[in-house]
Amino acid sequence: MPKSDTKIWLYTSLATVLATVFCYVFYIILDVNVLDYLSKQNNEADVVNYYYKIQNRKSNDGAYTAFYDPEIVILDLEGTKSRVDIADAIKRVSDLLPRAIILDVIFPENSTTLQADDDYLKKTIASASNLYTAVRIDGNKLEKSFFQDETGVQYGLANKVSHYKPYEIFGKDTLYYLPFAVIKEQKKENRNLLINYSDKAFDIYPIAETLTPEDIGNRIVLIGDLQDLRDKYDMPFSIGGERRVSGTTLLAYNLSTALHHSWIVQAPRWIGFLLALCVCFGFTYFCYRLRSKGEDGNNPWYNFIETAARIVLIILFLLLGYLFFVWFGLMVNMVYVILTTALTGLSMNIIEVCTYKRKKK
Amino acid sequence: MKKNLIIATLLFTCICIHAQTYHVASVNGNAYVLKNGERTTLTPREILRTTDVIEIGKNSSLAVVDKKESKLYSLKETNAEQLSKVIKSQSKSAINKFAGRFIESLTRGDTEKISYEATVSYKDMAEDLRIYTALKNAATQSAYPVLFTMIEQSSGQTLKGEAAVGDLFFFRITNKSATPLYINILNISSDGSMYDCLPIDVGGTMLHLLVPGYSTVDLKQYPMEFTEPKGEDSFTLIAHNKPFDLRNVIQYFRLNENTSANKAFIGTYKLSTIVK
Repeated sequence: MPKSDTKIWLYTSLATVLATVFCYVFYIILDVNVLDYLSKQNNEADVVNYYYKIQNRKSNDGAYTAFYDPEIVILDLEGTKSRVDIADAIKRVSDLLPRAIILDVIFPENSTTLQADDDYLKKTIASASNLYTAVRIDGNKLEKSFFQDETGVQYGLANKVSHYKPYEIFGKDTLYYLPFAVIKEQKKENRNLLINYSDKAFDIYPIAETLTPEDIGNRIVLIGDLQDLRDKYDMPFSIGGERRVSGTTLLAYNLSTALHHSWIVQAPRWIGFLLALCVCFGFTYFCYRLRSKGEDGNNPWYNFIETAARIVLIILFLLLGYLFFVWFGLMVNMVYVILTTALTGLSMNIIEVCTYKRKKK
Repeated sequence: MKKNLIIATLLFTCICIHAQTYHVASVNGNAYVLKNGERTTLTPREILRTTDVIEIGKNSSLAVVDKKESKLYSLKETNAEQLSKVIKSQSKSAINKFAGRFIESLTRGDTEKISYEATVSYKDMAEDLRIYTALKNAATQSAYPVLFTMIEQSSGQTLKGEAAVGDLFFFRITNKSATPLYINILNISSDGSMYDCLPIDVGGTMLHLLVPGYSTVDLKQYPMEFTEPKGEDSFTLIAHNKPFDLRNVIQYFRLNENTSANKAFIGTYKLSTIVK
């Protein structure tokens, strides 16, 4: 056991380096999963998923609080297949002067034989104010509605994204994602800004609901089928109490994040590492001081105190990471800190064993 | 002067508190507002004040929106109480949520954690390949006595070979063997496209798709819908004693993977339906 100050500093540095190396080997190279998520994602995504799992409500939660987005309204088509009924709904919404209408439905050419219905829908789409229709990149193809080219209506990509990505280059064209087409944002992609999937509440009206100007006026109306089983996505955490979420709901979350700039900022990996290094160094120094006092007989509880402090520190940093996430929308990967803190005891023991052998020689 | 200022401040505060309103967003079950000794049923779009006394019945919930604060509060069963007090007592802080979740993990109330521990062979890609080999081989016979039927959601009747686009149904799975089996259903539509009918959980544990031995399970929680294209839809039930990922199996079919893997011992059962 080091007694002099210089030796304690030296041992602390060695144990810190060893704990950090162990952390790197376990977490990065061996990819030991710390937060229970086994999907093929990077470690940072696992941490975000874990935080959402704590924050978002479960299906059986009776009481909960969620952010209410007053700027977005969802009109649920409730499985309506009739193109005339959908056209009527668009017309009713358009008459109430919304800020924009996003039609999150792609109407293929061949799924109806009623020419009159198709014409009516086409006419309604062409006359609706500030309407955006959905297109989708499917491999090398661009999937779009039958009326798209003829009406020349504005459109945007409905493909799913998880981070800040305003547009996609498709061949020679620049295709804007629907939320960014509506809010007219044309900045570059940023992988460190993630869509905020914290529980949100939107006004959702069924297609048959009688709507008032107050329901629609100056708001962005998303028209989609929340019941369509082909447009459901499995999420690694609950959104609004469900793990299978409709594409329109995910689009609403994307739009809401873009509108309110409530992106989750993912701190670079090195910040987590740096924090781990500092905390590990401080804690190892504390432990060596404690152990040296314990071996002198001044503190018989040193072993217990060290273990208890380690557990408290681990829980504290887990909580701190979560609070950063909830309060500031900042995601710092605290797993590095947690792992290195947990491994300090092992690395300190290894250093001690090594030096003990050398002294014996 | 000081006294007047205090009175004015108090009055202003009272007005502010009184002015705060909540819009009823949804009512599930029974929720009432008590005014002048009368109990009135709450309906969506109604406006409530913080001082209003509300009552929420058993197994019911009430969602109210505070438009100024951009917050929605979903409230559960409560006796007659002022709205502001109900909101305060039923709201959870971030630290509370964290503590709840942490204790849940420690006490193993977290079912997903248990499922990971209970399942040893999750995400065994080799198993998916062996299932693909077995399905590709036309001579493969079912290793387990399993079967399924499709139950129409509206009538509760078994579908008999025909359905219309838009019809909703769910699967009824019967496992006649003693072995608990993990199941999924492969759908091949008339245009040859393949789909996995039942969702795989993120951990790939498939505990939600585990059918105990000698039992019949209705998968009502996974409603299905007949969709375009019309024509013959073929459904194949795949049952195995280990978890598997049908999405990988489908991928092998899409790639037309050449495989020399041993075929897995799987239970299979086929049904076809004409979609009109």
